[in-house]
Amino acid sequence: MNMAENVKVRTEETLRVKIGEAKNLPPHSVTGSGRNTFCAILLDREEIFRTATVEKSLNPFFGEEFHGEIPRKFRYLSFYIYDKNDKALGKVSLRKRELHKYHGKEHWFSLLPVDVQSEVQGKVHLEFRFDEYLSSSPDVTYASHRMAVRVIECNDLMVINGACNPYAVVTLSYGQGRHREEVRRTNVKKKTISPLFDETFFFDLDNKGQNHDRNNYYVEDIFSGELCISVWHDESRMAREVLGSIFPGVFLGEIKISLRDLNTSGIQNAWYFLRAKNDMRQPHENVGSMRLKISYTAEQVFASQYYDDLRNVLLESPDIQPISSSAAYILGQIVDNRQEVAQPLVKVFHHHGKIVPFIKTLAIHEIKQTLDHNTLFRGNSLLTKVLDELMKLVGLPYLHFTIKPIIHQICSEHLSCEIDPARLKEGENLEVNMETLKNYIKHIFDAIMVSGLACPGIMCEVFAALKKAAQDHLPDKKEVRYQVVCGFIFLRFFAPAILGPRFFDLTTDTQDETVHRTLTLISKVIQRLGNLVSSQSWTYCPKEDYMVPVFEHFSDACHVEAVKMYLDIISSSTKKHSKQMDIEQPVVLKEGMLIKRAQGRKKFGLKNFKRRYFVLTNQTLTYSRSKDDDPLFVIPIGNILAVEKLEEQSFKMKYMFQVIQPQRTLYVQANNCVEEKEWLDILTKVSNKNKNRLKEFHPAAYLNGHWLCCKAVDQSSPGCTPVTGGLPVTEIQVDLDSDREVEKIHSLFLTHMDKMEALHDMCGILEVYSGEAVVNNTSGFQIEDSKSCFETLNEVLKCVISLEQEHLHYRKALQREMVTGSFETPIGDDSLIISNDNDTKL
Amino acid sequence: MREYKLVVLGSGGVGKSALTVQFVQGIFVEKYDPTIEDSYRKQVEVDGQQCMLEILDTAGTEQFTAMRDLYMKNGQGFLLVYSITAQSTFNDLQDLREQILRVKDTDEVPMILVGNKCDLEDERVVGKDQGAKLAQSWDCGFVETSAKAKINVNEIFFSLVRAINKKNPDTRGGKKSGKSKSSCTLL
Ligand SMILES: Nc1nc2c(ncn2[C@@H]2O[C@H](COP(=O)(O)OP(=O)(O)OP(=O)(O)O)[C@@H](O)[C@H]2O)c(=O)[nH]1
Ligand SMILES: [Mg+2]
Repeated sequence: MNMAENVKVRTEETLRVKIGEAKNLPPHSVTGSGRNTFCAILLDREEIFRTATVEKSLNPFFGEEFHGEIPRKFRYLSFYIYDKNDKALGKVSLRKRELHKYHGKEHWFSLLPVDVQSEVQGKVHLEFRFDEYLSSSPDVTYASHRMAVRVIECNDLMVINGACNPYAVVTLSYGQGRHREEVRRTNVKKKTISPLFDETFFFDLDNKGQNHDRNNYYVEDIFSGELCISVWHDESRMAREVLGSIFPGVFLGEIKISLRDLNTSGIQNAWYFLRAKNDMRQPHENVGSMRLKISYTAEQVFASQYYDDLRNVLLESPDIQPISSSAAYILGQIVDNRQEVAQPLVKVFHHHGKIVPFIKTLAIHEIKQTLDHNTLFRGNSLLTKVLDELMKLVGLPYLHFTIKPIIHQICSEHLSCEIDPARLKEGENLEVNMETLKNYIKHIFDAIMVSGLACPGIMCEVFAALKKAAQDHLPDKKEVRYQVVCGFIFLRFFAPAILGPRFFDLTTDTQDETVHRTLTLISKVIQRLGNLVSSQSWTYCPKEDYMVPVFEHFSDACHVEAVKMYLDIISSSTKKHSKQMDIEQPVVLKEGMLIKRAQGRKKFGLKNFKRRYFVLTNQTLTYSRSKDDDPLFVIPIGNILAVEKLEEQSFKMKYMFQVIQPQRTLYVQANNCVEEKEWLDILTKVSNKNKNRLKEFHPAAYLNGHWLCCKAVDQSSPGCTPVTGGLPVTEIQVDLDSDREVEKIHSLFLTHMDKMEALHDMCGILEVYSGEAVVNNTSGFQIEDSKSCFETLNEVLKCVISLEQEHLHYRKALQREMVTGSFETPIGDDSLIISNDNDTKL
Repeated sequence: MREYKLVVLGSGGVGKSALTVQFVQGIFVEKYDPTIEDSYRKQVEVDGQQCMLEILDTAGTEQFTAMRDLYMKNGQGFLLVYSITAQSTFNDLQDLREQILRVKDTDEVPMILVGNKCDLEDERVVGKDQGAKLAQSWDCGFVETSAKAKINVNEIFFSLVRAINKKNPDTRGGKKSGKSKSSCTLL
């Protein structure tokens, strides 16, 4: 296949970061004591995430995770440690193109001091020209030389304290030691990060040589000179008026060009990245270090048909005997990180309706390999990871529906449930704590027990398949049938969600020690209760002494029966109840603080901007004053006609999007580009199926009597731009992007080519020696049937190689199109935001 | 009395809890009840010195590993347990060790490699030499144990205490001296 020029290639970028901890932060200069710190993640200069504050420590442990889609180009990914009073203590800045070096592995990075002069972003568009012109003095006419520097425009400058009033300064330094200067400056542009200056400055070159004898004039002399174009923010008119032009403004960046590097014939016109001040490279003081785990991936996703071959090989996996010879299983063998494998596999199989047979085949395979049925499905295998990911993918609404309210209650009540006498704090009463704990456990337990019918159909089908497999292969071990189901629903779903509600989107807050301890205790009991059904006797289990009274309280026939019934319901494959699964109550899909513009419901009244707490459920989008207030306004999902970005120029605000309804449009501002994309995506997803969805919309706002985009004056005039459809609409579900997932799998295969080849060789050898154990199997590969494994590998290799060809073509085409100095690819990509190249310690 | 924070790590079902409970209470737990996070205290005498051991028995289930960082940060010594009857549990330990070293940001962390379930000789898939070789490359102690048959159970905990002592001999006030350069070759 040849990549047609007009085929759209999407680039999808994902960032996953674990912020571990920092250490050896500089102590407070006055008190010398600990600090209250938090860590923020920045794309270039834009903050996209911050952790909770850790109090009074110079070695703060954050233990937080960020995960998001990156919707825009960026050059630097940075991590800043701030003291709570907003002073930055240090930072780690990594270039985008070096991120792969740290992929998926944890590292300690040295923190660098943050100094304002090194914080630079944006680019400048310049033009240089050398003229020769005739000038005459009374007695002679001679050729003069001059240089024209045209400062055209800047883009994406930094905002200082909410403002940016930029001007540019052009400095020519020349002469011995470049100590002589000629300085020009542009006018100040107000309130813009993309000023259009278009001012040209002329520098006479003739009288600047070291040789002042005109007859011996040599332009060369001047070429030891240097041009500096710097951009400044004009901070306050007051300061300027008082202090005059000596008041320097705030530095926004500069570029320096040696005249030698300029081409004297012709015009040079190019974009340049602004850089930090050059002389900033003093020896760094030590401001500590931080531990991060960064996984950044960027996939170039082609049109669907390019993925068909590989997709088909993958989807055949459940039908391959033995499964260990299937493409999916092989992928699990060659990649160490099972989560990285399980995530795309689950999405692909689920999307194409093959997840149940896939899991079933894996399960039977694992049952046959497990000697001790006690530990069946309890290891960390491809199967268990696949189930974890599936439950996270399809089970979150169910989880939220079942336990979110009570988790919320526990977090906000903040009561101690400590029942370990050794850990009891002063003034706490063990009996009181015990009662509180029992009460919470009862609530959660009951909530789960009555929720059976709400469990998503696909999970029920999977559980039914697992139960059936256990039944067929271990017919005399009745208890295993329950054990396999509760081993997933309790041990791998409810218990981890209770213990770490943030990782399951149950809450966005971090838990302090007290709440965390409560959740740990509850999680332990819920897991134990689930596990009771597979015991012959549910009495004494000798573990921690202090837990015994709680366990005994709940360990009775009545609880065991309830669990059994619940497990029976969620593992019956009859699709009957999949109808009832449409949960009646609203399920929260996304929530958070945003800024919205008044919708103009009141005729008069200002259309001002206010912070509101937005909540999107599967039924409505609402906003209220704060998290726990009643909604001020409710938009039923059915009323959403379109959800689109709003052009920045409308309100001169970034990250604005619009929720278009029949009578009005709600304009909302997200906090950063990642959040904006998340809201856009989820809102599009829930409203995509609306019958009255618009085909066209206005990308800008209606202001001062006309639409800013198409200039139409009628407010009700139909849109001028087609709506964006979100992801390509595929047959069954819109919310999974099968092509992208297959692309991910492709790149996993590709990066583990060496292992694939090793496995390939090994299969080959086994074949030749007809299966005799001549191969010294140190690699840990499991080869059950070398012939079929060999065949699958051949097919996979074929698909991967041909797909990679397309990537190569595409990359080459991109490179051809790339013009250094263009807007997209400015000159000077090595900006001096000092990078941490050599800072990894491991 | 000196306190020791010991952490037991390893994949699900390898016998971390069985070993811990056998050591603390002298009972073998037949029933498999996967752990979320259990902690025990036990006072013992090692080389004539009274020690208070605080033992954290952790979850092998990967879903709970978000907590591991914190255990690793706070723990002073680690038992890395696999089952000699399951190859994958042995392979999983490499990552765990690396994570400990990362979190601790040092190459010298007291740890013992433990091959459990050595009573099940018939089902053995991980050879004793494999374990010994790995321990050698890690420069740490290695013992095969059985929580069921009570083989070497006390030994692993005692060895770990000794490894900690060796790394940090001076302990007045529980403060780390952090100066010791001795490597942790054991046994
Ligand atoms: N034969 C034999 N079985 C053992 C031994 N140690 C543990 N077991 C059994 O293996 C199963 C799992 O043991 P646990 O100690 O609960 O496993 P764990 O490592 O704590 O597992 P998680 O808590 O899930 O991480 C139980 O059924 C134990 O009885 C042993 O030394 N020999
Ligand atoms: Mg355990």
